[in-house]
Amino acid sequence: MESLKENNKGQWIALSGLVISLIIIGLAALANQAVLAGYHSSNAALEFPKENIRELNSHTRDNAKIIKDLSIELNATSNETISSIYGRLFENYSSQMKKLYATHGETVDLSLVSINSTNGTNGTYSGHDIDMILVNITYDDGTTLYVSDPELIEVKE
Amino acid sequence: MNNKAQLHTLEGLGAAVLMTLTILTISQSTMIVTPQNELAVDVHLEQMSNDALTVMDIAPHSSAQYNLTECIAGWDMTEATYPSSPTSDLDELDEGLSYLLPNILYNVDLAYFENDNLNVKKVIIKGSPADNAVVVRHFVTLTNETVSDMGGAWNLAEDELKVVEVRLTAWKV
Amino acid sequence: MIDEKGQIAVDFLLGISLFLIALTFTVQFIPGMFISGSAEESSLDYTAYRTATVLVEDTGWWGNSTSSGTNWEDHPNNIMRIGLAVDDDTSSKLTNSPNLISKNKTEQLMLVNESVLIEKLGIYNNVDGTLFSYGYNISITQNDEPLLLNNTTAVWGESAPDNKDIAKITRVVLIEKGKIASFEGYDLTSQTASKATINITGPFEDNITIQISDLNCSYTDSAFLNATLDGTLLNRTSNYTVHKMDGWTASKYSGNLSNSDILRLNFDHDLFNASTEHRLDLRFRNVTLPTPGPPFARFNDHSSTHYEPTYMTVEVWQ
Repeated sequence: MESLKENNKGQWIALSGLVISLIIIGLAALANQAVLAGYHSSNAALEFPKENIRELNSHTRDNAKIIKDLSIELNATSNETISSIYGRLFENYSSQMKKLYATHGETVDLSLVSINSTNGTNGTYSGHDIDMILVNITYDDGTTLYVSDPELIEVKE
Repeated sequence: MNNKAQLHTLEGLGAAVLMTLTILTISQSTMIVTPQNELAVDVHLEQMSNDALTVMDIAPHSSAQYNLTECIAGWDMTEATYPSSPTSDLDELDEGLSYLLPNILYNVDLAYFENDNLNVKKVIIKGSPADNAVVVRHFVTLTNETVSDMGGAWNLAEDELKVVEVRLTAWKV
Repeated sequence: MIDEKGQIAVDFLLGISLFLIALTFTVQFIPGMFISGSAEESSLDYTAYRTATVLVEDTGWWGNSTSSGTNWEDHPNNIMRIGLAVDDDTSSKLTNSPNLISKNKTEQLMLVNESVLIEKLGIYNNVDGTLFSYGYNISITQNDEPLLLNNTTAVWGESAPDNKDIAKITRVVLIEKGKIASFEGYDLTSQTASKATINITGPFEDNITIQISDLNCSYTDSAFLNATLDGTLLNRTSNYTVHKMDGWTASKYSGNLSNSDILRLNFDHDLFNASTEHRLDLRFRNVTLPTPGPPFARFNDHSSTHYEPTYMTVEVWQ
């Protein structure tokens, strides 16, 4: 190695190896930037929880109808008004959904805003003329927040 | 003898080692290997599984296949065991899913709350999930009426709603 | 001097060749290293995913200066978005039925100009404002065969090349297939023993399906024999087909019937061209039909839209 110290010609072969290595590292770093950008944008689209949100929405729509039918049925054999039965059942549904979503780290909130009827004033409708249910739906999985405030659900037969 | 004899050889060797090491380091670093295609494969499987549950859910009454709510309502509350009886009482659900998901294996669990306790019951077991398994979920609401129509063993009161999460774990074979 | 130069040449030669070998290896390796992570591929995956999602889950939209709606199939010149999902109530904006595919929309999609299709579904890459369309293949298949609608196969685009990277998404959908009426054994009316009579009022655009379940088959050799329309015996292959259903799996019917069997009869719509009431007699052997007629059960009172599971595949490549 004594010879290397004495030689002061510049060792251009080793130097060019170093230069090429540095160029490769630079290229890789640049390419990584581009890949990262592509990764993030397509990820956002592919990993958007569209199915979870749609399921929450469509299941709540189905339930608005199920609860309506059940309230009418229960009302026939009790003194409780339809709106109070509806409110109680919806509260029950909403708390079960909240707990089930919480088991996989998603926060949902479903709250009944109002029961609308074209004939009959609030609270005195006979049941079958209920035509629209208003519900607030909130979904949050940490990255995506979805709010429908209010969601209009048609329940007319 | 010239004592500079091996100098250029050493330089060349040094340069070669340097370049090879650089290439190896870069190709081994995880960032350059993009998870792109694997992600797309996962998303594809997840989408198919979700579709299968959606199609089961919306299957019209006129079709020969019971829909998801009817299938779940008819459950006799016994869990499946593997490998002796892998499908408990949900043959209809199993038939529907295996028709819709060819070349895909799956397990189905039902999750529901009973007196604030979470119950997770295995109802269809096709094996242990592979590494690339995905989980999708759908919800069904059972009432006393739907259960008694289908002859299930869910013990529900007249004014009770039971939300059941149908959890499908799917993987490619 | 001469001796010295010779020595340098051998040394230099060895050094430079080592260097060149490493350089060649490097140059060959670099493109392969970057190709798997190129951004184009991810946008291909995304394009396939988006196209399938839009087709399956959106109803589409049309609009001009005065009005708009989801029934774009009726306004092919004012298409704003293309989607195939059924919208059974066009007046309401809240109806969405993902995974239910409309037959009318699918048929209209076959007539849409290819450039419109590429533009509306976004099957192109935008590079600095210039649009390059991707190669694509969209198909709807049932039992591994392309679906036939109005004697046209439900396939768009060209067939996928073997030598290219292809982004592929398959969706499970239910597609509209004419009308179906489901009868249970006691719904069926009969005038003579073991002969069920159903009144059918035409005309129909598509083949119609009659599904019969819960038949009371009193003997071991109970069976379905034949069908007669307005007194004329129908041909079992050209006029109608009979299948036994097990969930969604259909198998050709032959042999005996039992109580748990579900029978599905599919009739050619050309049989009911006249808009009058037709009388269809289904002859069984040893089947008890408890409800006497006339009046007979009417197909049109029991009928609803018939959906069958199919697969929609979207493939996209550069």
